[in-house]
Amino acid sequence: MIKNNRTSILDGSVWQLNSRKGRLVGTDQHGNEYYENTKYQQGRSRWVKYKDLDDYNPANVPREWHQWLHYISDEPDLTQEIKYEIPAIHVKLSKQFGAVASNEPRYYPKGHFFNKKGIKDWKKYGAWSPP
Amino acid sequence: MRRFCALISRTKRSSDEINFLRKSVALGSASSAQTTSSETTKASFSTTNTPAVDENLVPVFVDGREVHVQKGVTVLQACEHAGVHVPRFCYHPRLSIAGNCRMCLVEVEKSPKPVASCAMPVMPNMNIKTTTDLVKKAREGVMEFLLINHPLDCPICDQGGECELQDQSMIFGSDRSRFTEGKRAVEDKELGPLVKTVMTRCIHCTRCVRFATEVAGVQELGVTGRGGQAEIGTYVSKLLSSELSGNVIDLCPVGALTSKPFAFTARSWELKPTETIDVLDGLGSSIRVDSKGTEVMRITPRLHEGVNEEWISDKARFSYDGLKRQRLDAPYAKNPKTNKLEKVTWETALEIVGEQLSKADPRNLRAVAGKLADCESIVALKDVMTSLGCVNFEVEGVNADAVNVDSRSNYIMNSNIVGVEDADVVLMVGADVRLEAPVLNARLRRANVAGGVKMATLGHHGDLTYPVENLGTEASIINDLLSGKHAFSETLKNAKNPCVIVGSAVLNRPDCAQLLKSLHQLSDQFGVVTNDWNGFNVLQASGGTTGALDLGFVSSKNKHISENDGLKVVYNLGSETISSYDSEPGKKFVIYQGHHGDVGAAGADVVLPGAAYTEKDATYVNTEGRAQRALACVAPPGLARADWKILRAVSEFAMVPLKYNTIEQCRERLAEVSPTFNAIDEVEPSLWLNGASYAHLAGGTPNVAAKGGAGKKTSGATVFASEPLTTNVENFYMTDAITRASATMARCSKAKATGSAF
Repeated sequence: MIKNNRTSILDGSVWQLNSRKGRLVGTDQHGNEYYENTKYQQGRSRWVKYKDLDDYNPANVPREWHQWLHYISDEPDLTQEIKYEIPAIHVKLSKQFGAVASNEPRYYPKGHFFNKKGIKDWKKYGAWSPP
Repeated sequence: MRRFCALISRTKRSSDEINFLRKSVALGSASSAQTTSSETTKASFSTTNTPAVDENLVPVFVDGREVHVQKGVTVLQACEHAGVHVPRFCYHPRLSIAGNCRMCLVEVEKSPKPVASCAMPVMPNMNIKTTTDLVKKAREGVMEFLLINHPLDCPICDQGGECELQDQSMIFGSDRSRFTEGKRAVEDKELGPLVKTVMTRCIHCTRCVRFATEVAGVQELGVTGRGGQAEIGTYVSKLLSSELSGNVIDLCPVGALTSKPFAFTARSWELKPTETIDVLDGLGSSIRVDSKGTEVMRITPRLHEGVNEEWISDKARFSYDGLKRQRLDAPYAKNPKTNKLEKVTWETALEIVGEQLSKADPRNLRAVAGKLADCESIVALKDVMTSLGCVNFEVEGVNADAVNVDSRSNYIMNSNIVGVEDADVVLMVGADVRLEAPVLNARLRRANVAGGVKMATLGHHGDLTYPVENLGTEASIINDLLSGKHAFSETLKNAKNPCVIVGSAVLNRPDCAQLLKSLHQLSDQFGVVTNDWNGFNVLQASGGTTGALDLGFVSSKNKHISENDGLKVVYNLGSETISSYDSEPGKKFVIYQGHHGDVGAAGADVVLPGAAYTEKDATYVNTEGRAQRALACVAPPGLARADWKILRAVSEFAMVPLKYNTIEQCRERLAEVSPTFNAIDEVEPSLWLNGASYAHLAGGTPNVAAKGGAGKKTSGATVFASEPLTTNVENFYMTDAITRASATMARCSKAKATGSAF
């Protein structure tokens, strides 16, 4: 049970800490503690327990722990190069729709900003181009 | 409910009384109409009725009020005259009476049943009741029947918001249907690239059928089947071939016929209406431009009895998508290294233009005004050029060396557009009025069909939708007419108000001067021009030409280009006929100012982006010499600016600053140059010089012979160019830079050529 905390009943993200059990991965320079439990579902398996549960701010999470917390990297290490995994379905669809061959073939759905085929022409007029 | 109806008719009354004069003129009873609103109401309660002043007028009572209307008008018109609005679907004042929607039922005393007021003529002392329970019940019953088969499409229907059925069902409709049967479905008809059909929505008012048959003159639409199987359509699958086909969209009271290019693009309540005029043909039809943001969404006609009544041509209505394509949105200048046009800033472009204009010898300068140029920019261009010392001007499509523009009567429609209906014989020379001005053609058709006016043509033309006598295609036939050898001379001689319509193609022929001289002779000889009638009409092809001629945009007679070095600098204000200066010797620097990238811009050294007719406040003169104002509906694209402002800036850079800084001052200057611009939307009659205009061309002096090999004098009769007289409109849908850029017009041209929409 979280102690010395007047608002934990009202604050859901603090109250949830009561029921979560996880491995302490590390602590940052502010004293915030970072936990992980891979049994929990993806997206809820990493969390932070702030040092001061009465007065905390997510902006206190340092960069390296932010990227760990948000599954950008598996280590709270800024020197590590981040590799973006391309989902297999994206690779398949890019090939299917004839996306340009590049190092990172990606599928963009119709209407996506980078999908040049499906993008809406927002220009209200067509300009003349000299011969 | 009855109180509600009464309320509506009372509120309608006040707005109707505003239009009182117009309506009473339409009914031909202006004198008695003056007294209707107050005095006759009192009179009807007094013991002695005042006798009708005019014996053509009969007294009728509408809801207890006495009104005097002309004999033979219908009960519905009498109600309108009394300021009582009668709901209707099939009745339209400009079409024949069908009487098949039954919505206009009213009660007439001593009549056993409610009567369809649109088809019932008034009788003296008829007592018409429009607010009784019987009338209300009858109308509710009709509305219920109309809605049996009408789909609940309103949320996805383009007519939604401006639908007569929607409006009237709010008053007479029930909130639920008593019918459990399925609604009938009707196959949609393919009417071409302009009119979209959803025939299930049709209520069989037959307005479209009557319009096509009576006004447009194409017997293509009709009703097949009867009762529950009745359908509107082309009998065999066929596209509407009329140039006025878009008007059926306005006429359709429901969403059965809607605009195909406008389909699902906007709702009527989102649009900003601007009342302006069309310039794509010579008539200058009154239009309403509906815009949303910076886009023109659609164009619909406005009522103007003197010009277009309430119709406009398909070109005026549907070419608006051309305003969004091929636009000049930035100044361009030719890069001397690559010899290609490149985008530059306004300042750079104006500096180049100013330098070219100010350093050139004024004798090597020329200014060309295009078909769609507005009068403000024309007068500004003329003032800049004359300040520079240039006297070399040209109007696109007019052989101004040959046409005598000193007298205005030589190049306008002297009888006015309305006046062609007063003629009893009409001779069209080198014109296909159906292609050049379809709305005027509808007027001529009415004159022919309803008024029995004899129509004759000289020159090639297509089907004009009414019977015409073609005298031939050779210009020399005019000689036979003059000498009386031709059988038609007799008809002309016997005519009381003969009328000659000269097509704009004639003004650009090599033998133009000779032709016009002969036509003037013909006019004087056969009474085309008398003291109280002037039937000599020139039908100009587009909105800018008459204005340019009114402003005297023609070269001075003591000639222009210094022979040895030829033309050096050309200022082209939107003309796409570049052959006129391209063919002349000398290396030319061409400045093009216009709104669309077409041949003119492509062949230019500097391009200044101007505004199209929907994007600037401007004045245009139509073919009858009526000065009209166009209003800016949307902003010009990109860096484009209003044309006269560009010329104002050019004048600064050319070191000859113009004296006017605002458009009001510019318009004062317009009125100074030509009295045409003193009054807007009025036509001043012009002086006829009784043949003096072309007197300098004695007989058939070969004065244009050097140019076109024509006009040689032989023995008395003039010899004209051998080429046949014909119209200059090859394709009705594509006549200028805007229509050539329009995808809709391209589809129309294709459909016309192939007979299929795809």
